[in-house]
Amino acid sequence: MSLILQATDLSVDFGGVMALDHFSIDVRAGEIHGVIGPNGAGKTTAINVLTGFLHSRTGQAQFAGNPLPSNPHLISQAGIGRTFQTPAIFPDLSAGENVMCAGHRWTQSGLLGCMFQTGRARLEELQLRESAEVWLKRVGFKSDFDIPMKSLPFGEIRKVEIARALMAKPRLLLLDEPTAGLTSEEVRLIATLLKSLQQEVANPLSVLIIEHNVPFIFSLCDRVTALDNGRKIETGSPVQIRRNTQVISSYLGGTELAVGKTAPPDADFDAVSVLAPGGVNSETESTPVILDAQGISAGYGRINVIRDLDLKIHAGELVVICGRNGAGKSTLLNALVGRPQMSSGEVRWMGQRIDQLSTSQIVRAGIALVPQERGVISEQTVEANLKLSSIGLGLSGKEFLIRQDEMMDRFPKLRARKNQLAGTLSGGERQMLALAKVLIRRPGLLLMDEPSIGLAPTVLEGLRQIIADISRGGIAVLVAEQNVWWIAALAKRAYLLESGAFVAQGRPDEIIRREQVIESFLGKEIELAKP
Amino acid sequence: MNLLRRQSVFSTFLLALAVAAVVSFLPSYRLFLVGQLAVVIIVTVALTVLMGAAGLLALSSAAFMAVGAYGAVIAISTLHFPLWLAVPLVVVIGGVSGGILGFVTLRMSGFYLAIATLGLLQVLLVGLKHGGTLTGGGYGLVVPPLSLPMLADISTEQIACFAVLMMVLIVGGSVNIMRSRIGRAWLAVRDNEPAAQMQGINVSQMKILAFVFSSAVISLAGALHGFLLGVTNPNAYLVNLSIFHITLVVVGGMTGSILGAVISPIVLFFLPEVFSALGEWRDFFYGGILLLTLVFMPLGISSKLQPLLLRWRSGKKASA
Repeated sequence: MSLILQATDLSVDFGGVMALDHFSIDVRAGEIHGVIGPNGAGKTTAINVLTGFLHSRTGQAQFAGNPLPSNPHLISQAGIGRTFQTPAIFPDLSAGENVMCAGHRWTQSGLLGCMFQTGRARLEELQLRESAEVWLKRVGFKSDFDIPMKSLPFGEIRKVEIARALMAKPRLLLLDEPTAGLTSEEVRLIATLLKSLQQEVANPLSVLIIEHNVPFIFSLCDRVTALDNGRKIETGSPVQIRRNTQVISSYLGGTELAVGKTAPPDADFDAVSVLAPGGVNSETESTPVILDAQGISAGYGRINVIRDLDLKIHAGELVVICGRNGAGKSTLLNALVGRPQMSSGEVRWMGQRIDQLSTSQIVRAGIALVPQERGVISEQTVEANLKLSSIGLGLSGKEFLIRQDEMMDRFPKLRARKNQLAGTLSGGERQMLALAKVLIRRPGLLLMDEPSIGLAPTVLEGLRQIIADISRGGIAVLVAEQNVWWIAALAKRAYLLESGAFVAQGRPDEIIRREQVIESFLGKEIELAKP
Repeated sequence: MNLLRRQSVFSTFLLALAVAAVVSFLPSYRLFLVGQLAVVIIVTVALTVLMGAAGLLALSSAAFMAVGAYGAVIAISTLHFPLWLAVPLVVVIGGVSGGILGFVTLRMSGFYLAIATLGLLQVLLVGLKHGGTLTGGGYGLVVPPLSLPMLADISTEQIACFAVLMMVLIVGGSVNIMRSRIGRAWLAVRDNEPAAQMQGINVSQMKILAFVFSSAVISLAGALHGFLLGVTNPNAYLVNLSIFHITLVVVGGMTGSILGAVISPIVLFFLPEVFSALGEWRDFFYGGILLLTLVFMPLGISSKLQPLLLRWRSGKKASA
C-alpha cells in the first residue's frame, strides 16, 4: 500500500524539554491511523509539526510524494486538513458560515468580484452554502445553519469543526481528540462517517487521529502508534499495541502513575469496582449544610438553561453532577459563582445569601471554580499564575511562599516546572496548575467542570487520587462530569441533570444504574474501558 | 452582518441614485453637511473593514485622507489631469500605498501596528508641510475649478450629491464583501489565525488585502473631502482626525458590522453638527453621546441594533 504521509526523525524541544525526540510516523493511503500516549507525550506537537505550526530541527516529512510545504496554509492547500484539541472556530460567524470557510481554497472570486457580486461570486457562494449544509447534516449537527456559534453547546461546536475539516475535501485528515465532549451516540456517528469516507472508491480519505478514548481508537483504526516522552514506542495493529507491555505501563495504567502517587489496590479500570458504593467521607450526613440552593434558575439572555434546581452540599462532601452535553452542568457551576447571575432562586453559603453577589465576592467567600478550559494564563509562568490567584488574600511574601510550597507538595510535577510558561504544560499538568490556583486560596467548596476532559487514563487515575485527598482534607467538592465512572466511587451523592433540571439524585451507583443514564451517555464505554 | 443583505450592483446603484436625488433638494448648507457626513461614513465603513473585520488597528486613516485630497489637487492643477482620470488615479495610489504599508507591517499587530501607522502619518505630515510649491507648505493647496467633459464648473452641491452617491455604493459593496468568502476570511484571520490557515487562507495576503481596500476607499473619501472644502490644509489631517475615525468605528461596533459603521457617524458627527448653534455645548453633546453609547452598548451600536432589527424582520416575515 502506498504511503500518503511519511515523516521521519522529527525533533522539537521547548526550552530544553524534548517534546518530540527523533519521532517517525507514516500513514498509508486510505488508512485510519491512531496515535495514543499519555498527556505530554508529544501527540499534539507531532500534529503541529505536520501542519507547519512548528518546525522540526531534524528529519523530514513527505506528503503524497512531495516534501511537505513549510507554511500551514500551503499545507492545507496541498490537501491536509485538521481539527484542534480545543475546537478552533470563528465565534463571530454563524455555524454555517464557519463550515463555508472550508471552501476558501477552492473558490476564487477576488475582492472586486465579491464587491460587485459577479456571476461567479454568486455561483460560488451558492455552492459553498449547499456543500456546508450537506456536511453539517453528515456529522449529525442538529441546530440551525444560521445559528451564532456563541449559543451552541460544546458538542455541537465540535461537530461544526469536524464538518469544516471534512468539507475542505482533504486527502489526509488530522484529528486532535475529536470525541472529547461528545456523547457515545455522537462518537458512533463520527466513527461511521470516517469509515465510510475511508472506503470511498474515487477519493479515499486517510486519517491520523489522536484520542484518549481507547475503545474508540482500537475499534476504528487500522494501525495505531503509541508514543511516550516524544518517542515512538510501537506502531502496529490495535491487537499488537494492546499487548505491548510498555504501552500498557506508560498509558493504559499499570503500576506506575503519572502524578507520582501509588495506586490503591482497586485502581484499575474494572467498572464494577469503580461503580461500587463507597465514598471518602461516609458520615457527611451528619456534617452541616454549607451550600443550600433553592429553586435556582439561570441562563444567557432570555433563555434559562437551568430551571428551578435545588442543591444541598454538606461540609467536606464530594458530590457529582452527571448529565450529557448541553444539559446545563457548566451553567449551573458558573451560576453558583455568579456568572451568569441567577434569574431566580436563593443560594445560602454558610447561612449567608450569595445569589446576588458578584463573582469576586463569591470567590472571596470561599467558593472556587476550576472551569472546563482550566483557566490558566498561558503567557505566564506557573509561579506567576499562582501568585496572580492569591491576589486579594492579603498574603505576606512569606505566607505566599508557604502556601506555594504546600501546592508544590501536593503537585510535585509543578515544582519542576515552576518557571515554565503555563502554555507549554501538558494537559494533565495544566489541570494540576488550575487546581493549585484555586486551592492556594483555601476554599471551602471546590467546583470542578469536566476535570477529565482531554486527560489520559493514567493521569485521570492520579487526578482521582488528588480529588480524594482534597475531599479528605475537609474541602467540599462538586464535580460536573459527563464521564462519571472514574469519579463516581469517591462520591457520596450524585445528581443527574437533564435539559436543565435534576431528574434523579441519590447514591452514585444508583444514579448510574438508571437505564436512562446508561443509555444517554455511558453507552458501551464502561464495558470497553478495561483494555 | 446578517442584517444588510447582499444586493446586486444594479439595485444598489438605483438606490444610490435615488438617495442622491433626494438629498439634492436639501438647502445648500444642509446639503454641504450631508456631503461631509457621506465622506465620514465612507471612512468609517473602510476602517470598520480594516479594524473590525480584519482586526488591524491603524492610525493611518488621516494619512490616506491626505493622500486622496492632496493627490487629487496635485493631479489636476500641477499635472493637468482631467477630473475623471484624477480621482480613479488617486484611489489606485491610495490602494497601492496601503498595500505597501500592509506588507511592511505584516509582523505587527495591536498597539505596535497603531504606533507604526502613526509614524507613517507624522512623516507624511512633515512632508506636506515642507513640500514647497508642490504641496503649498503650511498653507496647503486651493482646489481648482472642477469640470467634467459634459459638465463645466461643478458646484459644491453637486460634489455633495456625488459623495452621497459614492457612499451608498461603497456601503453596498462593503456589505457584499463582508458576506462573501473574503469577508469571512478576514473574520477568520482575526479570530483564530491557526484555524484560518488550516482552511488554506493566506493570512498575509488577507491582511494586505484589507489594507489595500480600506486605503483605496479612504483616499476616495479624502479627495471628496478636499473638493467639498475647496482647500487642502496639512492641519486638517492631524492624528486627531484618525482618533475621531477610530472612535466612530468603536462606537459602531468592532464586529465588522457595516450597519454600525453607517449609524455611528450619524449619531456622533451629524447630530452634534446639526446642534452646532449650541456653540461650546456642542462638544458637551458629542462627549455625552460617546459616553452614553459606550456605557450602555459596550460592544457598539450594531450589537444592540442587530438583534432588534432581526426580530422585527422575522416578525414581519411571519405575519406576511
